Amino acid sequence: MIKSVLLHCVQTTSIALLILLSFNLQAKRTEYQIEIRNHLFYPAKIIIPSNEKVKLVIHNKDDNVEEFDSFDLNREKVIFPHRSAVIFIGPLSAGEYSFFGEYNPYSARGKVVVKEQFQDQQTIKGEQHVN
Amino acid sequence: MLINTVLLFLQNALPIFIITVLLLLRFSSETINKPSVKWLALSLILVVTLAVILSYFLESISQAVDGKGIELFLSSGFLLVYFFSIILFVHKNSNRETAIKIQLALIMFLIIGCLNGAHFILYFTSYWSKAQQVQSMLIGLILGGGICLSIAILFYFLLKYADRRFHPNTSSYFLLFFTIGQLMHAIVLLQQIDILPSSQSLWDSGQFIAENSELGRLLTVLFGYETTPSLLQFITYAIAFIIPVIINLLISHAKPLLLLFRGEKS
Repeated sequence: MIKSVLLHCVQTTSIALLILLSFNLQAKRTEYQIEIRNHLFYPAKIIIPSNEKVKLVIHNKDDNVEEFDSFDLNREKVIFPHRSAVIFIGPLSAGEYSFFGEYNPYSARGKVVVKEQFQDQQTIKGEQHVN
Repeated sequence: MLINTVLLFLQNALPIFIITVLLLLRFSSETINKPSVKWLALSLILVVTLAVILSYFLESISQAVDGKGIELFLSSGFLLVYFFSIILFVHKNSNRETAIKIQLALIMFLIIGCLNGAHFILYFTSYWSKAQQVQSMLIGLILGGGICLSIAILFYFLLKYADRRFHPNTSSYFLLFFTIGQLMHAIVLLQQIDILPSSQSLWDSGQFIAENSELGRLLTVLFGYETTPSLLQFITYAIAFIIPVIINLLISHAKPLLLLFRGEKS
């Protein structure tokens, strides 16, 4: 009996993931680019609109693995050296949400600023990193 | 580096220690096929070997399916762990098919061990080359290992005591909550790659127990604690708990009825 239930579990998991993938008709999301260089995020501050899901593309230009991590955004993703990774965040209410590099938490730090009245501005120029 | 290594060790190794304790307690009452120290040592060697192999392939997996490979891979593993835990939970009072249940437990242990272990190996190997940080990392490893072991031993005896004094199935419920925590992790990963819908958080309990605090990290590992859960996470958590409990109730109530029915027939 357990064998059949076990088989059923594996089948259900596979089917569930396939259905999820087939329904993955993603809407076009606004894209924001972030770079990791010398264990710092560039830009370190990103301004996004409230109540909207957005796409973050993170490029790791370092020779070491880094992990984008945020307790506020509830996101974590390993980014391999000289590779890029994509994560989706939001919809979020107005406020500030910090993120950091888990492998270099004292240097690699940044924040996502969510604004109600979103102006056509994605990064604050002149501010390259928060340190 | 030292603190970071300890924190990473807690985050990645504590789930392995906790699942070991929960599975040992799950089978401690079994009369036959009880897991031995030899069995546990072999499983540990297998987990370490598989975690090393997995860490080697993680980069390739991360680039698969348009960069969604890791999330899909990890969430599949966590989903399987949850499904297997339902089987163990529902059959917790049955002494039949113990061998299959032990095999399921071994697979759960391997999945949790590999997925968490590979992540830590990645961190460890990435910074091994930096000679000046090796000492800090080694001290961090010893400290982290000691903390995890202490928590695991304390947890083992607390649950064993609770099983005897309060409710015989306390550890089985803890195993279910632990795997629901893994299921929550799978949901967050699928939301992260936009496969599952995200919504604004229902509440923020960060001011009471912050997720990055020691207690927050422990609760996250034990129950899938989340300071800002979305509606989908909340509903899934409730359903993931209620369904196995209902199945368990149905089975436990159906058995006496079935026996009564058979008795009347004969």
